[in-house]
Amino acid sequence: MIKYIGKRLFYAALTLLALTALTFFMMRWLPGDPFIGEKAIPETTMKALNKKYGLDKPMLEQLFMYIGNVLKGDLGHSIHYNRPVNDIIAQAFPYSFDLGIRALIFATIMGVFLGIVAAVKRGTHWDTLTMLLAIIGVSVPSFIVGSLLQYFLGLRVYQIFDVRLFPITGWNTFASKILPSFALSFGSLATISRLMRTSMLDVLGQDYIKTAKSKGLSQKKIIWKHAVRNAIMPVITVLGPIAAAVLTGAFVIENIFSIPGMGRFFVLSIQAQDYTMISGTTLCYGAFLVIANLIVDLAYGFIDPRVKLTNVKE
Amino acid sequence: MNKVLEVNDLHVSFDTYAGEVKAVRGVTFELHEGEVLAIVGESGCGKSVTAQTIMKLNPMPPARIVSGEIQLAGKNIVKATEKEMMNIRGKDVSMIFQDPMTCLNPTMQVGKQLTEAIRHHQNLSKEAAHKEALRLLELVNIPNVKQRAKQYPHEFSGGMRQRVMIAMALSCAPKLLIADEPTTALDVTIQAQIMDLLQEIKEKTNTAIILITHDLGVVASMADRVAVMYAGKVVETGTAEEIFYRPSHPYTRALLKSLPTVEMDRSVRLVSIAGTPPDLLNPPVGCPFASRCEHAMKICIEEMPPQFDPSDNHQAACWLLHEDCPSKKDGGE
Repeated sequence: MIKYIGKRLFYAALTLLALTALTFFMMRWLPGDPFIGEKAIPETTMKALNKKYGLDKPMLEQLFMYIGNVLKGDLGHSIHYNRPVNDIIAQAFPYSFDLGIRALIFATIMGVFLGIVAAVKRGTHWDTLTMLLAIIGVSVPSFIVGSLLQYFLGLRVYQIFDVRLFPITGWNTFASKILPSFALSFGSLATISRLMRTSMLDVLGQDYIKTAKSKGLSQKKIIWKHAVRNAIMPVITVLGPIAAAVLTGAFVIENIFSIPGMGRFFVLSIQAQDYTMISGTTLCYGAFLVIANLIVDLAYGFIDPRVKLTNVKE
Repeated sequence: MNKVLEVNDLHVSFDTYAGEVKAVRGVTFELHEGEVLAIVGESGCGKSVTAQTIMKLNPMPPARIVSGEIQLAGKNIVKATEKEMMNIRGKDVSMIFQDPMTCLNPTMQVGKQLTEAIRHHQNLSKEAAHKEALRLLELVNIPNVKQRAKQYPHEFSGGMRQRVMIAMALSCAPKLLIADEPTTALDVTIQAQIMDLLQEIKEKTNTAIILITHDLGVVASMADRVAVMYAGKVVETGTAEEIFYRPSHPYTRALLKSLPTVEMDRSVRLVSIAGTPPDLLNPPVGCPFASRCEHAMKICIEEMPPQFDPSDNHQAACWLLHEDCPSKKDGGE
């Protein structure tokens, strides 16, 4: 088990190294440079700037220097913001992480629950209602869900009932975190609930469910003790990609709800061609995803005893 | 001998988009303590549906008990609520299924799957239930029970899993054990072991057993009585000896004829019954076997034959047994 985790962490490091190198070259291949602006910069100033940020050195040398710095824990100095990238990430990442984790947890729990309900009450109004919700969730983009929530639950409720149920923007009180988290989770929630329903229907038709019934167990016990654990595997599998979707989707939601998270820095840094900032945020997201996938793979072993987390000899 | 089970004129249908499929059309039989009744017949003849209806395991809908009654341990199962059924299932009657590879929960320890049933029906502490589970595993000849109980189904072989299933079915000393093709999915050598085990358990516990199978060899070795089903009906019942040595229904005779024997010449092709069973969406008015029967008469197509008694403890539903039947007058075949 520990050997397995060690091996996976080694591969994770390799993945991140490749990611860093790829982003590095892709940035350089883009036309323009970080100092491009409305006014033309005199050549001498340009030279001085390039020298200051080390951009006058050969590309490979720059890459190795950058990787060396990253290994020391230094993500460099943002050209656009004129601040260390470490500082910016340390300040913004907690907001994004908080939002993402809330959305992810809510989407998983609610998605699994709705999927179970839809499967158990198959063919009834509950099923139709849940699946209708799921189709809306998959097809309506999160910024529309976010805006509608802001308008109805934030603004209209205040106008009609004169109570501030949910603040329209911000990220400080618990109430202010509900709407953005929900808006961000909606799409994933829909995906998970559809998946859980299909998987649950499959499991409920299995022979061991019939065995459980023949023992005299109640419907409730059969579902929670025998069916759910077997049915949840596909959901665990998609949690990795869903974590990615939630992370990348966060930019829009952060914008709509004015949350000072990392999404804004990520997008603006690309527009400004802020080399160090792009690398830093990409690496941060990348690390998060790699860890999320590792957790998913570890979770397999805990949920399904048939999955053994050991190195298979070739 | 005490009567354990009485099934009276049971009709079970499935409501499908195409219409009502009459899977079981008037099945009657009874079973006494310590008796083994084999229900034989080809696929789709209603034997499994009959068995599952006794435990009400068929999902309803689409399944529906149209009429009839099932008396088990003094209760009419047909009228029992789901809550009452939860008390009956596993305690008064339990079941062994066909495929041991799929009928155990892959994500639950084997011991826990056993204790679950025990604790559901008997008011035992966790430790006592665990002890009981170990005793049951020993009863079905599983070695290293302590270690084995902690393992998951995928660490067991097919035969071992079927033993676990049997242990589970026996956990609350049921009056009736239904074995739905318990050996079909197993190797021949393992089949014999499982049948021996069932025999041993029957002798030890005096449980009544319904053995559903299409393996006539299994029937001959174990059954006291045999019911032959065809197209949702019992066409012939009797003691195993009567059925094997004096079959009265053409279908039973055809079934027995289709068995290969040791003395058989290799060049002789196996005999099969020509034709297919009738569509139970629109079952025929007359005898369901008439279209495949070489002795079919006009009346066979027009009217359902009643049960005749060719001898003691032996009934068959065939017009050939009617006293006015010409071949009967000639002294039979």
